[in-house]
Amino acid sequence: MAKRNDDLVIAAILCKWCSYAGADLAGTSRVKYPENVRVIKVPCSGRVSPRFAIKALYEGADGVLISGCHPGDCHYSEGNMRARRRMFTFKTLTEFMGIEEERIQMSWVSASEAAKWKSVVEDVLDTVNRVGRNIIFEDGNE
Amino acid sequence: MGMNEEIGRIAGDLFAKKKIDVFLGYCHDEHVGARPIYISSGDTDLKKKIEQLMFDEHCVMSLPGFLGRLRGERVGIVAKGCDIKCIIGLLQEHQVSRENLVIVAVECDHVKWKGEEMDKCKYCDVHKPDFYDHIMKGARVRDNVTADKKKKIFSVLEKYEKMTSAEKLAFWKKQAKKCIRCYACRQACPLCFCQECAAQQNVPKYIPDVANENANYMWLMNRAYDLAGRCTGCMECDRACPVGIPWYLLNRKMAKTIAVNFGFVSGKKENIGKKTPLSDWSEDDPDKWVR
Repeated sequence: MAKRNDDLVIAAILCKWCSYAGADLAGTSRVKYPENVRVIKVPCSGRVSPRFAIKALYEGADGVLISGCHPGDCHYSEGNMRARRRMFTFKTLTEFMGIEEERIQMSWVSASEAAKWKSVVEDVLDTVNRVGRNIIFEDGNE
Repeated sequence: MGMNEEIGRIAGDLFAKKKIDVFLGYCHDEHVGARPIYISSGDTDLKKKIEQLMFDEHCVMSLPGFLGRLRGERVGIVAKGCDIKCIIGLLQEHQVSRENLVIVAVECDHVKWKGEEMDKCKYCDVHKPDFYDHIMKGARVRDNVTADKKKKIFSVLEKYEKMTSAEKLAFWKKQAKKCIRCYACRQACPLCFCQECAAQQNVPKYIPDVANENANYMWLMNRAYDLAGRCTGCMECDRACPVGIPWYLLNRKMAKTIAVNFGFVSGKKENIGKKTPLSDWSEDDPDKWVR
């Protein structure tokens, strides 16, 4: 595997009930995970508008990870299911318009899964590393 | 009696019985063949205006776009099959109420824009509409296309789906570069009815106001996504766009995604009362891509 670029930035949009708590647990239990993630806390993954993802890429993130509770575990019953459908639809559009599929990813991480959080972040980083730095919005700002 | 007189007769009848306050239809225009006409019950030249009502192949403009501005009024509207799809979309999203609406449907063979038949007419499955209050029989009208033929509307996408990411990006950046952010696409769209558009929302600012390549690229993406599962393929945005951005590619891509994965097709009369696909969910949604 190619060496991972340490400058990659992943915008991680985490639901406060599961994934944020999971990432927090990883921190408090001293699980070392890559420092490339920038965590953004949202009330629920259902809060995540696809606009967040494209905005994050525009602002310079190399990848976006949206993470919520496992299906059926949502604090608000169905927010994560809605998020899944929306992000899936949006991903087909971004792929159609030329953003590599690796850049927008989604995961289910529960509050107790510190180890899964670590592996998810590493996987996401490796996948984003395959497509490298985000140069989608490099040109065309004048 | 010809179709034009028949439309006039029904409009006159509706006004006489005080069933409507406003009638939206088409009248002759010397430059482009036809233009919309707005008839209000208060017009002093009501009779003369009703006489002007007509329908022919030049009546390409979609009238349901005006319905959002006529909330609370009882409206009679001349609608082709594709316009009725838009009305169904508006009914589904509770933007108009059925009681306030009298749909005067016309059987339409095809409509022309700049001398050419619109692309949508080749795949039209509503030459003969199935949702109306009054129907105007057309003299020579094709049969509705079959479901198989209708699916061919997506065949234009194949060429663009096969491209590599870099090629796709270059193609869409090139399209975005042309955009002047006039928002004609939004104004023409019967289903773009938000009071505050995401493109002009200030806090938080998602899409930069400047009309550069990147901001326009985001605008294209946002509009296509916001219409996902709602766009009925009337192609008014394509027609309105002064720089020729191929909106239909984005809209059809979204329609394809929604149809294939969630089994939803916009503009069907069964949809009224159902949720739009993106405000709904199912346990069987694609899950493999989630970690």
